[in-house]
Amino acid sequence: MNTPMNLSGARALAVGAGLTLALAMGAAPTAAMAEVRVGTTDVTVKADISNVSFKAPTVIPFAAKADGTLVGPSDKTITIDNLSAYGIHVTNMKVTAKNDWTIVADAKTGSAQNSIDFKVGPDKAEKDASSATQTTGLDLSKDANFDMKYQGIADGTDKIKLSVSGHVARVTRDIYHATGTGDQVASITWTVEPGAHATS
Amino acid sequence: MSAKKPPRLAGLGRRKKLVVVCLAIVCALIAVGLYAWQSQPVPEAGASVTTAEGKSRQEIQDELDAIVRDNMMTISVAPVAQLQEGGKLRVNVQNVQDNKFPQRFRVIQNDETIYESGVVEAGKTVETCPAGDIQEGEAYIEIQALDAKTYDTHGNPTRVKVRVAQAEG
Repeated sequence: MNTPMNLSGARALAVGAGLTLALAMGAAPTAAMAEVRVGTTDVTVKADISNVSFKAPTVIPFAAKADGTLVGPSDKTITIDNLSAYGIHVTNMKVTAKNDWTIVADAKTGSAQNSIDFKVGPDKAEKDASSATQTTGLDLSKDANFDMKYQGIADGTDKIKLSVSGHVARVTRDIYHATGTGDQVASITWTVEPGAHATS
Repeated sequence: MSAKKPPRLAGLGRRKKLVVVCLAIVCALIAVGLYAWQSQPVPEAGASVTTAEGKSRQEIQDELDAIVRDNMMTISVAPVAQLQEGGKLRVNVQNVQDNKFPQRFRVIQNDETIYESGVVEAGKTVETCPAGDIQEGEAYIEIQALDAKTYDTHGNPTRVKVRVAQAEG
């Protein structure tokens, strides 16, 4: 298992030593410094080249009820989990239709066969898949709902829980599939970036 | 000459019949097992849909949750891709040991694939790859899970936005 970057162990010691040094310099200035003014040392930190790590689902399965309503996995299960010592953010979601499925805003309207509408995203911030089918995907870079804070934060915001919902209509494809597996409807490409959402 | 088989040979015939019957039972059990195995609701890939007749919502969701749990994957790459001497790019793509899937990755800049890797098995790391014509600035590393047996693509790819920079002195 990969060990994500964190500030424990040797690195924490190094940072601690730096802080201690800075405090010592402030608390015990030399005579020459004391005559002029107390010196200050900025202590800064930035992400180094250690890896950004996170866990994401490779599949989002739906089950279709007879009335076309889709049932998805629970949001406790379908998550993107930050495994890094700093925040990360989903900046884009791109949806590509597969296997003759047509991704629309509302499957119940229109006349296309094998129509599907679905939404996916954090609770109350679900994104319509049909709005993410354009070549550039759906820009989420300014959406704070897709922020994940550092791994292990007490309030659980180191992950985003994805809610899913949707409908199918006029299905001619054999969604039982010959082998009993599901039929691929779409591919969703998430883009993740270190850091929080853009503010401007 | 008698047409009757001697008792010893007749016993051998019964044993043969018994062996044939046992083999037939074993074959039937294997066939039933294979059918049951193939009937598991495992999705093909990506976002997929199957039917939900005859099950409660909780039963359906429990099955879907199990599928998701079986298909989670850890992605780990360097957030800063360093241009190094000798035309190398340090990407440090780690397919962590716990992952169930081999991976393949692409380095993308301005919608062009700069580099596409071979199969990266779980537990392996690709530290550097050819830099090609990549420039300093924004780029993406796209990770694709692969089927462990066929190496066909499995599920959704995930991209990580990285910064390409010259390696420091």
